[in-house]
Amino acid sequence: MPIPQATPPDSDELEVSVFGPGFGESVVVHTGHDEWLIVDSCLESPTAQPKPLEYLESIGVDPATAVKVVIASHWHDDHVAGLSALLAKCKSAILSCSTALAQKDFLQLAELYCESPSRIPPGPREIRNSLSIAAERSKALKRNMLCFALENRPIWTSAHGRAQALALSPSDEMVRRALEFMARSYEIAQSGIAILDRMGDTPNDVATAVRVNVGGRSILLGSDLEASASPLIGWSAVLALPGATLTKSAVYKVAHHGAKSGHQEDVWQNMLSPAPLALMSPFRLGAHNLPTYDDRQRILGKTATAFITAHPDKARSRSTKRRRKVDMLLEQATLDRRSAYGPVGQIRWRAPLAHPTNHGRVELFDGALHLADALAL
Amino acid sequence: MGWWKNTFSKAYLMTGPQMTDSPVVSERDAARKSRVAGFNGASWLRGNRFGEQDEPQLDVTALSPVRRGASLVFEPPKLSSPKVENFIAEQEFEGVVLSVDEIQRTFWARLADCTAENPDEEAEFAFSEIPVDDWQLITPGALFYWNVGREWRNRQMRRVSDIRFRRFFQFSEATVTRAKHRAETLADLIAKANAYPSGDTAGFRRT
Repeated sequence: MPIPQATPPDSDELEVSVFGPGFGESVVVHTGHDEWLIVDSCLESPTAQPKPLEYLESIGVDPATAVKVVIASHWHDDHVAGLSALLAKCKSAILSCSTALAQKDFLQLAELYCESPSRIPPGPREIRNSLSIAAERSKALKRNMLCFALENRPIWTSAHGRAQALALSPSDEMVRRALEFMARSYEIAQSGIAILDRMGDTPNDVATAVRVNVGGRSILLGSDLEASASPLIGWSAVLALPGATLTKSAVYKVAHHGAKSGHQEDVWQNMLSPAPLALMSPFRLGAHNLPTYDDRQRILGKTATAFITAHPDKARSRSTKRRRKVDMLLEQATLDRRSAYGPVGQIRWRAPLAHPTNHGRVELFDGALHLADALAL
Repeated sequence: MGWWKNTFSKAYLMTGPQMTDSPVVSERDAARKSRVAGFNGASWLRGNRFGEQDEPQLDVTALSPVRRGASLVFEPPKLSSPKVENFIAEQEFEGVVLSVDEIQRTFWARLADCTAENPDEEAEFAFSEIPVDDWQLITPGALFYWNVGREWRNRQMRRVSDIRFRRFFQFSEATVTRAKHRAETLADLIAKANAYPSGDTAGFRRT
């Protein structure tokens, strides 16, 4: 019998919920005993509250006390939509993001973005606003409510030590590259070249992959971390970490929306259990849809238990209706037009904490589907 | 294609090659029109029932040198175009190019509604919607403005869709200084936060 979406997990039940796309992707983890972690944020519409917040409130969880950590896996718009609003409501949560995002060059760049007359893009502004909230919170509570992620650094440990979130990236080299890029971007931004919106094109040198260890289980949250041949960056750097392959994760939030760029064979071989539960949200921006058909087939070749929050190829919501004559002219001038937002699907996995071998139960809401069903239009 | 597509005329405002009438530019303009109408079969553009009447009537400007003090200088051609008596914007967007398909000559852009509080949109445009001189600006990350409205010329109203790319963007020195100052303030705040004991659950418990 299906469990209603608005049913909270039991106190001793582990939950991983993946939301997306709307605009963005978010992961919510219940580590038991009303302690929650949120990774990234997404919005169904710009006026709606962040989806993770909406979900927690719908199941009767008070985000102000229950959410212990909010992780900004990186600055890209599709991961931080509504992040600062989310953090503001999670009043006892610490903020975690890459250490590169707390450095002077990024802060200067983000401040320039805030000064930009352009409304696009929100990513760096969201990170800047979130850092500001967390720093002010630290001052008020006289506690450090910021935790900067670096490879092999614990981000958060639960009160009784039974749950831990461990950052697997970025590596030192990724941070160095990110800082170099930011310094260069800041210099260019000052000299007047319109590069302000190019940051989304850069490699995910600040991407924070996280492993959550709880009750004898391990959950790998892949962020948008990319594969790499260099042992100094990306998944190769993670695989080179001492002890990285000792624990096998049975649940995997697939990196980089299932794209080939986030796929590293050794991760599937050495960091994951055989046929893990693979969860992902699609990326749909302009002409780019991820995972591609080939990506979907590749992931299904690795595991039969793969789920996605929405069909990657299906059209999103229609664009806003305007006056008829205006709409006609807009239609005339464009080949295709649609809303950048849309419904947010949810994949929810719950399993009892006391039985680490129990495979748990997957529930799909609001358009989420098995990845095999996403092979056809 | 609906009947209405022929009733609208497409017009670019005061930018683009039609701003000058030197022979060289006129040829380029003709080539532009030929390319624009040709590559995507823009029949609604060719089918403009007002035809060349919509093209600006341009003044002739001599390119011979003129004396300025002790020097002879070549003055740039004077720009002229029919006077737009009034323009009412009905819809304004700010856009950023997401991706470009150079083979199909199309690009995707994200659009922020500047007229009302509406969700951002994404749209695909043909290059033909953009003045040829601006094609070089169509790169991922480029900013543009899209105005849709009504304009009056010679007391005749027509609907206009005008996409203009931002050629240059520069922060003022004061803005850069202000941003730098704010960044330093936030960095200080973060540094002070780092001096406090950890605020995570275990950190609270330890103390």
